Amino acid sequence: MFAAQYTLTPALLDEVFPFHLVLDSELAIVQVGHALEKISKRPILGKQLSHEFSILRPKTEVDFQAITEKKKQLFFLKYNHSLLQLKGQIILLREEEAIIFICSPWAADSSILPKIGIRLKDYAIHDSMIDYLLLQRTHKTALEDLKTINKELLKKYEELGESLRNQKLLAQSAAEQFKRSNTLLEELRETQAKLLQAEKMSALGCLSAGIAHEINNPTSFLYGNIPHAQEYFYDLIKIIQTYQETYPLPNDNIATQLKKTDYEFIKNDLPTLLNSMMVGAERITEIVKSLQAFSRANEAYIKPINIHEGIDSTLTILNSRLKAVGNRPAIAVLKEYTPLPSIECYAGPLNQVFMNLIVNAIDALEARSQNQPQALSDASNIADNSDNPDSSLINWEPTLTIKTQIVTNNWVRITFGDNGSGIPDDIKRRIFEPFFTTKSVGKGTGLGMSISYQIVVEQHGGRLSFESQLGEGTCFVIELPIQRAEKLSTTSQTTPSE
Amino acid sequence: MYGLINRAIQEMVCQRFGEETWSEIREQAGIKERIFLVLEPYPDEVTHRLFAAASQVLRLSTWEIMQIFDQHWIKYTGTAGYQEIMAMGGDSFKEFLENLDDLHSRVGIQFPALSPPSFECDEIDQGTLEVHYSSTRRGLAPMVVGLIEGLGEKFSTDVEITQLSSIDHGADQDTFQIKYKAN
Repeated sequence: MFAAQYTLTPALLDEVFPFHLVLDSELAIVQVGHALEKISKRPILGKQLSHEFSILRPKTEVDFQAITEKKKQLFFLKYNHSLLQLKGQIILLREEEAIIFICSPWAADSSILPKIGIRLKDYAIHDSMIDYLLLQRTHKTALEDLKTINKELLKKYEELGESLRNQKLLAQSAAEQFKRSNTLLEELRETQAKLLQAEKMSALGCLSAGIAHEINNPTSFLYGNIPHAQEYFYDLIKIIQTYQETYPLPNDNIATQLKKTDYEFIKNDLPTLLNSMMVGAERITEIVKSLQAFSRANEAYIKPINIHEGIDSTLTILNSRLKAVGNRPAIAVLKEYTPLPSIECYAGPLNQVFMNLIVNAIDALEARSQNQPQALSDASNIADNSDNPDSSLINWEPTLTIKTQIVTNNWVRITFGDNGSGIPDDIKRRIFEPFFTTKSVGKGTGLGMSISYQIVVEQHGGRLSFESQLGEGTCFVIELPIQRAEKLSTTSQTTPSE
Repeated sequence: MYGLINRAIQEMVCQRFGEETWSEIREQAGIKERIFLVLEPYPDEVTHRLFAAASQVLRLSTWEIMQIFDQHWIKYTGTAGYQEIMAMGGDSFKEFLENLDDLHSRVGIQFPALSPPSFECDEIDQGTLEVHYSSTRRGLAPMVVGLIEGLGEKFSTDVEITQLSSIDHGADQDTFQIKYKAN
């Protein structure tokens, strides 16, 4: 059973629900809360509900019966003369045939309420509408805070992105600088080494030229006087023969002297001796010519030269290295020269290329002989042994083959082939790299082949290539234009491969 | 205290003294936060350190700083989204001051970690009010003066404030007598 005993007087009802409305059975407004009366734009007491308010929710006919049937539902009324909306519930007073609408002003946007003229004091103390407004404000504040932070974060993110981009650019720049520095350092090192090599070659050229000059004069004396000495000798022999025929019996003193000096031996041996001297003088002359040819390294201009002469002079200089050493037999040099026209080139640098290639060939031949010392030294014994599986070594003769030929109208090919140790496949691609060497420390600079490549390809516009079979030998091929390209600018320039 | 207070201090310093001064104060106070979250509770110590640092940097007493701040506080809340609430707080200086305690009670519901102060208001006679201020926090009484002055400014009312009793001198609350006259 419902135990409530107390009720509210109209004044207390107004205090507790300052926005309430009371409607009679005709839906006329018969009572208005004081706060609602204050904020309404015009007097609403006695007016019809439908004149002053529209029922937004629930959907219902505007008549007493229809409204009371919806008494379990939330009601939203809109004041027809301002933005005011009322939210609440209806209470049916059966005996009085009236409806009380208990409500509060409602606003989804709290900024509307002050515009309508509502103050905090208008609400009943218990009304949670104010708390709702504060909560709504707090919610908005939190959202605005998030927006502010998000904006700040986006700004920082952009700054960070910019910093990262700058950092990346700096890193790229540093990497490029580092790479450039390394390249410059490498070029500097290479240039320094080339300068050193050039200095050495220049010094060798100067030395060769000096020696050739110094030897040349005395050799000329010898070479020039030996024929006179021979002539004088034959004249003297003829005089002695005339004396002997005129005075067949020499006195004791002369006879003793003839016997003592072994005149007959001198008479027979001196022509041979003079011939030997002549051969020696000729050999010295040949060496001097070679030195002079080689010393053209100092010549820094192009001129037509005889390629064969350059090769031969280089061979002469390296003659001592071609001779037999230890277990290695003498290196046979096979020249297969084809008559060539004069080639326009830098004589000195080209001689340097010949020297590098011939020295490398000699080294390769020595390397192969050192790998087979027993086979070579015991060649005679092995030859008798028909079971020896590597009998090819017995017949191995270290050989350097030099070929020259004309390959097209304007190109010559010079080939240096050896039957030495050959080049392993894994280092073939590095042969022309600066500082690459297979020789032990101190024996090779690693620049010979790179300099040769530069001289042939860059300085002379030619080609330098090689073929090699490990254990069988190597063949380097130089191809040079007979005439410089710039002179042929008006005619078509062809290459050997064309 | 909620970040709203610290944010208002930041805004006051930046508006009146510039961003660089704020950075200096923040550094002096040893505060790492660049942004105070409005609805995040911060230790009271953060607010006290900010006031102390502001006092040192701006060469003003803490009392003066707090007064300046509370004048700003009225403007800040009136523009930082709470203008509707402020507008509904009352149409006059007296009405607003009488609603102030109720407003703080309702704010306390929204901000459970706030422990809002209490402002009991008695009308002594026409033109004279007595405000009894009590708070769980100590040392913030100077802010009340600034707050009342800020309200006077908001409602174009001349106010004359006299502190009648102070908790610092043994009273159980701070009491301020306010003589006011609407312009």
